[in-house]
Amino acid sequence: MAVAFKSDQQSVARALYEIADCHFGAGREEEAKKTLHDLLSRDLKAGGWAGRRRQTNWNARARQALHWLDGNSLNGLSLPRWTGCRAFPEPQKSEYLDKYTAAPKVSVKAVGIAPDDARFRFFRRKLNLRGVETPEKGGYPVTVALDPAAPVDKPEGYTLKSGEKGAEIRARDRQGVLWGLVSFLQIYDWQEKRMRHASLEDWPDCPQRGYLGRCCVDECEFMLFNKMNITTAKPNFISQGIYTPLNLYKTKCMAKEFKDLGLELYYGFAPFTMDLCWPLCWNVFLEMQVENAKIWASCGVGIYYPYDDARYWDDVYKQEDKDTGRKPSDFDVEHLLKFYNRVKAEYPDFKMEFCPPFYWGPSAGHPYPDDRNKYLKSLQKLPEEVSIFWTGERVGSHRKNKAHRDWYANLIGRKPSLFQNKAGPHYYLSYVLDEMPWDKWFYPGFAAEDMRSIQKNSDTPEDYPILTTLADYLWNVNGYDRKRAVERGLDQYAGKGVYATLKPAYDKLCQVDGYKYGRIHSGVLHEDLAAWEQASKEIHEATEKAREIAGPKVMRGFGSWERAVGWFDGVVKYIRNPPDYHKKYAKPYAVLKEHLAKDKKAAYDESKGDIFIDPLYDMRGVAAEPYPSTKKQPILPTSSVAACFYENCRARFKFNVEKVPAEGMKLWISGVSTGYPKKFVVELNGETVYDGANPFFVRGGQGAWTTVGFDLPAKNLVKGENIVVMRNNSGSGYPIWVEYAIVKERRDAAPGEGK
Amino acid sequence: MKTNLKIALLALPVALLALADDKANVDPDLPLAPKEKKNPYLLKSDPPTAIFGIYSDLNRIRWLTVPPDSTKGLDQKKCDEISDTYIAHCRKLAEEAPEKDPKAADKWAELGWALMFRSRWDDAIKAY
Repeated sequence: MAVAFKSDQQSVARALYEIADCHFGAGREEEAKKTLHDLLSRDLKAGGWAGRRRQTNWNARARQALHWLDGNSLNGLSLPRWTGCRAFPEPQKSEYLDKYTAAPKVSVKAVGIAPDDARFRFFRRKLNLRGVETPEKGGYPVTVALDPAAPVDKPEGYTLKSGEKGAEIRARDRQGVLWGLVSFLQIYDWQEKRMRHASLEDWPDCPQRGYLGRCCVDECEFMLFNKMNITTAKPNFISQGIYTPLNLYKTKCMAKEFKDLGLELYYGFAPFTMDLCWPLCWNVFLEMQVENAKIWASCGVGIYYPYDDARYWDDVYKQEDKDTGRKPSDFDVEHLLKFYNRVKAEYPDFKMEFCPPFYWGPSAGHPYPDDRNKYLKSLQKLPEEVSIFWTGERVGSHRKNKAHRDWYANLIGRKPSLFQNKAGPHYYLSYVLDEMPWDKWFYPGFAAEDMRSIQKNSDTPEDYPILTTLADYLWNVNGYDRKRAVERGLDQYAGKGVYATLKPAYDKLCQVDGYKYGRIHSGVLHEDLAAWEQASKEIHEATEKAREIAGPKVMRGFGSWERAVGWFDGVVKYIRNPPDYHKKYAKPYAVLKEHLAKDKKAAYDESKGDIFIDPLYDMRGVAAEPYPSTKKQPILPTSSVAACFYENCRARFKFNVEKVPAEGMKLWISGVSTGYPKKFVVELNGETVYDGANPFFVRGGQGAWTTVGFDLPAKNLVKGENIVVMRNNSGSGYPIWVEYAIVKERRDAAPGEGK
Repeated sequence: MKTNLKIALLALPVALLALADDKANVDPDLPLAPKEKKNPYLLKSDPPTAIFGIYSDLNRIRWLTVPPDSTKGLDQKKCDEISDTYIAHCRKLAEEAPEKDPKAADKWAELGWALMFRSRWDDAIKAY
């Protein structure tokens, strides 16, 4: 019954939306609006999951259309929410005084630029929406001059001086004018309707600043107040070529916002490129692409042409090779040139970004049957204005290296555009308040001189908070302050005090990172339940308080915050009722005991007081889970000294000693290394007792369990509780798995004996 | 959406394959077009892209029902024939659906969408 009911709501929502689409197609805009409002007023459950398929969210589609139909353009987020009367991102040079002049009315005088320019329309609109009148004359005067002799001689640069008698903005280009106006709106005191006295001399360091997102109606407004100027909407309103009247309308409205304000907007063309897996030697492929691209260009959007991960899939390249005797490195560029030139011929403003199959390197290799250098070099034939993406040394690399960048730039014959993957610090997600180390990842000169554009691969609006930090960094590289960026960016986006409200909760929330999403491990056996429950309570209280300030729209998908809170609660549930691992892994434990019985090196003998360290109940690692079964090895419960997501990842355990033996003790560890962690460290009570090569890796014998002995010197042992920590310092993602450990008095070998 | 997919899966192969082979209107004695001229991807998948509904399916199918070396897609008249066939099919499914069938609404909606694709706005609204 529940399913049928839900299905009905979904159907009704779909019908109403599509009726509105028909009204709009027939030119009956008011009827369309009425129908969409009707749909939203019914509060139908439309969207969500039906089995394994995600149902279309018709409410969201209706809200998108109404965003423009109801005239809410550039104000969906109501930015700026709170700036403390300071410009954002941090200006290059700024001086603020604690003086203000009343400005309940603001008049604009344009010099060298049309007074009805979209930049002024946006400026007046923002003022008017908050009750500030903008008469042609009178009130607080703002002179805006597009002047080739303006003081800042840099692209998009401007000066802004505001004082008792008015304000003056001067810039050498239109984008400088725009950023000057945005800074005015940020410095303006909205509560008291007065203008702060300030002097700014400002320009961006990075020429193209932005992100790849998901096509929200608020993208343009968000970018304006973060002074970004490029975005790529991978999925978008017309992704699949569904050119209904409302989809085309939304696309045109969005494109117009960007174009009017001099910002760049690209729509992802993937459904017409690699998703199809059509051979490139087919004429129809090119014709189909050109026909669709012209529709897109007519709406005013540029095209992001990805031809990357699927380029060599489905054996399409083999068919091409068979039919033509040529490889993608021979003819992809010819296809791209024909495509670009034909669309450009009809739409001179048309722009294109391209992502080749070889978008990373040079150190990380590639699996494709083609010549990477030859392919990339062939792209030099593309016109200079075509932007080409690069993700860095690897697909998900963070730190950038100049030699790597130069290698790529020299091959493609232009500055690359960065496609920054996996930037979120919590399993690639962001928890809103992350102090992003952009300044650590990007070498000096990377953003300001070496790159054409820098875009973070994002989910919007979820990633808006983290994007504010990127905006701050890219605008003023040397002035970047991680904490200030997140605090000010967040308050501008979500409202005054959201940062302060969430910060204590954030610090607690981050402890959930010990449990990767959806993966509960034996760490729950060792957690302090009361502390987790208290933390959960505080996190929920802070979240509610932030919701009151920010409102439900902002909190929806708020930098994965709520997702993390949900997962935190999930972990608490498991801490409260941990699994019985001996029961759950009865068979693996039986195998472990067999191994132990046969282990002549460790020679475990309980009767002699040897201490057995259980991998799950006694060891506390990051991910103590069964070691994955292979043909050679059975599944075993293990403690992982993993390095997948943490630097210096560790596992530890405790054991008790009644009397410290004069000759010390021996620690035997049975472990396996599936990859190449180079180093392994053992610490006893904070002192390093082993720091050397990874002894568990046997070249050519991966997957073989190895027992290794380590000395525990008497001088480091204490009577009572002793703590052993095992570290894997590779930081590269390869784990060392520990099956068990034995601690025993030295009865056997000489000190220093290894495996 | 599930219903949409089913309808599309049912309707499009019939309409498309009939058109691709032109069996309905072709003299059986005439030789068939050489097989290598056919687009292998049309026959390989079932149907090629009947996932996103009539808009995107027809958008692609007009290029998949012509030889790969063509510089033009299927002509408009034939495209209209496909969508007419599809509309008739949707109408039949909708009209035959029992009134209490919880998925009947989806069937009428699919008809509406098919009519919308042909810019028959008021007919589409009636279907909804």
